[in-house]
Amino acid sequence: MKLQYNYAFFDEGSKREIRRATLKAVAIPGYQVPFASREMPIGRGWGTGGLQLTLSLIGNEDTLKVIDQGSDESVNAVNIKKLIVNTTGAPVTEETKEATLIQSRHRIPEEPLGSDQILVLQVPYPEPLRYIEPSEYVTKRLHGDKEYSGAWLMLFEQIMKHGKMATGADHAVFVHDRYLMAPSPIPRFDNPKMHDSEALILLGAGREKKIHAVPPFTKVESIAFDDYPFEVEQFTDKSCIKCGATHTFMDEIISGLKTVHQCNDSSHCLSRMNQEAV
Amino acid sequence: MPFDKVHDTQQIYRKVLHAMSRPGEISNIFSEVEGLTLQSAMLKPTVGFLYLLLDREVGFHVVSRHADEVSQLIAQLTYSKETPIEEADYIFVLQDALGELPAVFGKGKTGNLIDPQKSATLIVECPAVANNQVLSLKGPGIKSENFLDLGLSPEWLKARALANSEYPLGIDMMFVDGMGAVACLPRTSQIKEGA
Amino acid sequence: MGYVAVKGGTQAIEASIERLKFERLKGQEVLDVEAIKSGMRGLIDQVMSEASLYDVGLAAIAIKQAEGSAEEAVFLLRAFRSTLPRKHVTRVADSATAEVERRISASFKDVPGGQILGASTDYTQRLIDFGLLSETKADALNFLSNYRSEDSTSTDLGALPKVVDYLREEGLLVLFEDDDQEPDDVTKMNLEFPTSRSTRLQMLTRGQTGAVISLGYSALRTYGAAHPTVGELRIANIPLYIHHPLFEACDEGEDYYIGDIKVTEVESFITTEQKNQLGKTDIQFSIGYGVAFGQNETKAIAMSILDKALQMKDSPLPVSNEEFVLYSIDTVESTGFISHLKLPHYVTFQSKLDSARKKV
Repeated sequence: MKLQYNYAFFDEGSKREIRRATLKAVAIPGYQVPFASREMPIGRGWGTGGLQLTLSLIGNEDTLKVIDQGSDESVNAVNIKKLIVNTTGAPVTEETKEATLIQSRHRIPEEPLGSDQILVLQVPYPEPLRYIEPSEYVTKRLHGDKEYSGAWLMLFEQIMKHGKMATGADHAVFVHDRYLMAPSPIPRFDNPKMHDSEALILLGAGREKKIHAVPPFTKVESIAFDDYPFEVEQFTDKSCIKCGATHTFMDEIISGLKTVHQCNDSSHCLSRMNQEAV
Repeated sequence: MPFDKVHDTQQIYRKVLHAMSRPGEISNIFSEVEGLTLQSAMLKPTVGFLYLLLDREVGFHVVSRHADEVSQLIAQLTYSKETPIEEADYIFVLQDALGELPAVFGKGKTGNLIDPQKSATLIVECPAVANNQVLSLKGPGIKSENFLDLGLSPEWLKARALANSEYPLGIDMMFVDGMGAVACLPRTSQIKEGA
Repeated sequence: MGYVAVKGGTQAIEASIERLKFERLKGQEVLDVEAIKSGMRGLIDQVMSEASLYDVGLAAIAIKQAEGSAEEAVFLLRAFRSTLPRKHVTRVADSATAEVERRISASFKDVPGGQILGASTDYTQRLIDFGLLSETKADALNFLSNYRSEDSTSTDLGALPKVVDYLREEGLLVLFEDDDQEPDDVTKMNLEFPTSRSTRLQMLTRGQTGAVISLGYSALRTYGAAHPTVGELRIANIPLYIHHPLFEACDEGEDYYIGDIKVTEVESFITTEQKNQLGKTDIQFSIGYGVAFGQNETKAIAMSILDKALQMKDSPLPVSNEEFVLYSIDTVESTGFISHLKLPHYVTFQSKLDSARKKV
């Protein structure tokens, strides 16, 4: 393919727009800053928010890692990586530790992140109140008034109906005691990793045109009741069939007649196996 | 090496982003702005901020004895619009006008509850940006406590606290000195004088 | 490096891309970009309009690359467009002084300047012309030389009065001040509700053709309130000028001419009731406006209906809800998000499974 695009795909004006919004997002933790989301050569809903953040961030000194649902080799990750590498020449890695920039769809790596790393999360629905209130005009005002009773009520109704909170991934969090934020569809298992994180976490929603951020060392609390505390997904008595790990988020694999489990974070799993092999 | 609008601006961004996410931590952009040749009343590192922040989509205001000529220069360089200070997205307070810093807080926009991001960012030219124990900082981005010394007389602290008293409304700040040291104070940082 | 590599994804993807190229070329014909430019006017106009990028050459390449899929071609052009800086805003363009190719009015039988039919499929029977199977270049050239010799017209096509002016002179039109302030640019800003009219018009004109038509139709077939009369539909080549970016004040004589765009412009008349000074209710007309790059007549008419519907804030029409219309109408957003459902969702699904299995 013969391409005619700038470094990191964008013109400088587009990067500037994303950078300005990102700086405001960091200054107002958990608040969704609207930005003039650009149209990207990958589909809306395929990680364009995260991709725009990454392209606005990346430079010659970066090493990139891209993950899709825990895997570096999944279609979305491969596609995004290819576009970034084609337009920047950036080196890529699958080792979480080696990366300076990590773009991820729906997982926070198992390996704890450091202060020299930035985690970029792809966000399909940035508005945690959208299930309760369809209008953007209204939800912006609810956030303005810190009016989150709808979100509490939804949890309450789940408890009444199911005897428990029935949230899946994307369980909403309070950031810096002010904004209710969608953490992106990471499993509940990953929510606690956002609290007091060493690394800066940026979240981008391309189609919905919002950027939000969790700065390092910021209070992040999953929404829950005192008597119905927040719970992460349980993999009790399960261990990874490959590396033997017991405290990771696992994929369920149906293999013949039985179900086995395997680490979802494939690069973490691999490095554990390599350690054993040494 | 002449200034590279793509890669030097990217480096400036990463350093400013680092400083904004970790209030009180100092980054240095001297090597990036070294190649700038523009002559003006602005410090060289401040010119680097123009490339990072300004274009046709935003408005700016300059507080300086040379405000007129500097504003004209910025408009030509960036296509950004000069606006009254009350409407400006970016307010540049140059070294010759630091006495006016407290008053700037009364005029700069702080956003509204629906759009708190529609607030001014101040870029302040300081005598020196260092980590001496003059200001003690707490808040998001800070593990326990950070220290910052901007070489400014302290009148602005009260004005800032007042402008930022109704979080999430507020004004965010970027500080730079002639040697390229950069620090930031988002509206969330709590400042106390002394160690 | 790892001894157990969970590999395969990258190679499989490469193979799929290879297969896509195979599908495009397996017929052993190479589609000439010039042929697309010359013979696929309808598709090019649709693609340019939805992409909001006026460039016939680029549209033709995109159509070739997309194997004729409008959805995919628009996607390519939008992604290209988003890398271009916007440096200027043109002077206000006036379709009244533009060179007209076609101009019809459904409101008046005889309009000043006359009905000019131009090129349209409206007057054809939709019967497949099997003669096209054996059409040759010689046939084309022969036709062209005969056609040119017959081509003559006496009307000044650059000075056709607008039909709305006639109603305006009679006082039958709700009047507004000219609003020549710089329009919002929806590609450079975030939507804010309630939206400005310039925002709405931009979102509608770059909307997906099928979506604009279907939503416009929905207003037409229900409640009857938004049944417009096409006051005027014109297809015109509008010259565009920009002024010097740093010296706004200089007079129009020093503007730069940057080229023409062909647009379809529709002004629909819709009756409204206005209170007059005596407290009685007068019937007047208001305008729904539609405009689209190229010849895109159905879309432009549907857009004029939606423009009007979106101004009727208290209306029961679903398409008077601007968040519903504006958030749903864009091709890149809708096709992108629908197609993302093909991506793996096993982490999120695992999380749901966990919730479902958790016993109380």
